[in-house]
Amino acid sequence: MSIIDSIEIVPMGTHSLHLRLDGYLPAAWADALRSLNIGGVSEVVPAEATMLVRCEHQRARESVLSRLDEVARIADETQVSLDASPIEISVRYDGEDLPTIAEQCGLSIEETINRHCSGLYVAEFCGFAPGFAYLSGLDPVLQLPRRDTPRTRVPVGSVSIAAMYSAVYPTASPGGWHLIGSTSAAVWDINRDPPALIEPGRRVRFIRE
Amino acid sequence: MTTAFSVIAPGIATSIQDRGRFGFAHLGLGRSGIVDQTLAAALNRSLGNDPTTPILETAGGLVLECVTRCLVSMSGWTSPRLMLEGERIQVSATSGRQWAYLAVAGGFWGNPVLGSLSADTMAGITAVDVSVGVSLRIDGFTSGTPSDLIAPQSAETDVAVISGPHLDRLSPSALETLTSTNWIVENNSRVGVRLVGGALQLASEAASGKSEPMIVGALQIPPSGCPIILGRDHPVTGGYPVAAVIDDSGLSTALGVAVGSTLKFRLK
Repeated sequence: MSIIDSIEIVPMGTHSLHLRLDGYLPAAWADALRSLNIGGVSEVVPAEATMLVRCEHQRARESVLSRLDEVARIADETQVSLDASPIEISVRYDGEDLPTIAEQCGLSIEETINRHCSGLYVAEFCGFAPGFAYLSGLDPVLQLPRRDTPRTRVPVGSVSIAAMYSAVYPTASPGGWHLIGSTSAAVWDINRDPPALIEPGRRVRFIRE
Repeated sequence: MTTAFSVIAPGIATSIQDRGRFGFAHLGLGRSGIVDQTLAAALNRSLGNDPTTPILETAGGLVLECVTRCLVSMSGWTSPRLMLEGERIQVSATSGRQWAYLAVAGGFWGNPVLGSLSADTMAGITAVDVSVGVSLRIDGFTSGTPSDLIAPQSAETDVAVISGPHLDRLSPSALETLTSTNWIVENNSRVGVRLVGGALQLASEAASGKSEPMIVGALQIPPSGCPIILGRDHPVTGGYPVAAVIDDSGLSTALGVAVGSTLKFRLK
């Protein structure tokens, strides 16, 4: 059986494709597909369990469909190589919500910090704001629902957690995640290419300052 | 480059736009770009510009004063005009359209951000400031030959859509509701167009809770059942099911239609 028989492919708009990739890491597929540089493929956007392949014409769409087995193979290999070099982000564990996080999780503050900075995270996808990467790999004990009332302004560089993810706020914005710490790492910089520090598929470690 | 205009009144939601930014959607930065590309292309072409040469886009009320004589094309005109020093011009949308454009021979000039001059309201990017007293510069050279006429715009409000991808999260009657309703535009911004006049029914298990990748023209169905058409500055991921996506042929019509106007959808 070909691997593409195990995934669901649905058109999304005139030429683009929406792939349901249950059981796979969409970020790794997206990276693999992008590495093929197929003409007319303008965006490859991974999300939690799905991926959009934006095609500018029918020819591009056909090329993508004919090369999905190859994409699946490369995705497997990329996953391995990405594991080798995590991005390290140094964190000051001074978040406004740190005491409440510890309390709600039934942990000491020290234990809360240890559990957050001992994880190896995977950037699954970006969304919400430019450069905002959803990092899976959060310790299950630290998985809390979002705050009941979102803050109207979360400072840039806030290291936060919500549900199964951790993230760094790339710009000051409203936000409903719990603030555990802060970093001075430039997560988003429009004068840099790529502008995002954490690209989907990359591994991330938080280092305690 | 030359200073061509001084901004007397910035108007509403005014910005410089071009073809937008390509290849950053996976980092959370969308394409942005000209909303009504059909109209903007007609204006640019009438001046001998490429169709996506940087252009001024506004929801109305923009007033400029000409500083250097230049050839200009604008929404509502039938042909380009030579503007003279000291002359003032007001840019307003024509009846039924939300977005108005002013194109200049050679195009507007600025320092691109990630390859584009487009302002992105979602990402907070402004490559060229268009506020009171600002001088707008132009590139001064056109690559083509101006034509005498601006191609007329169709008054069509019936657009083709491609169903899916989230039909499993909608009731079986949802597409029928989508294509049989006369939708009224309640709100139109660069981020999206909000429609009222009916409601699509969601399936009981509609809430997947997962973020899905989005595309311009996607008809997102929030719990109210009233569709939102994602605009050029849409967020790159979203959680609401998408009933259908507007065909490329109808994007300018659907995104450019004025508040209070009617839109109809048909399956392609």
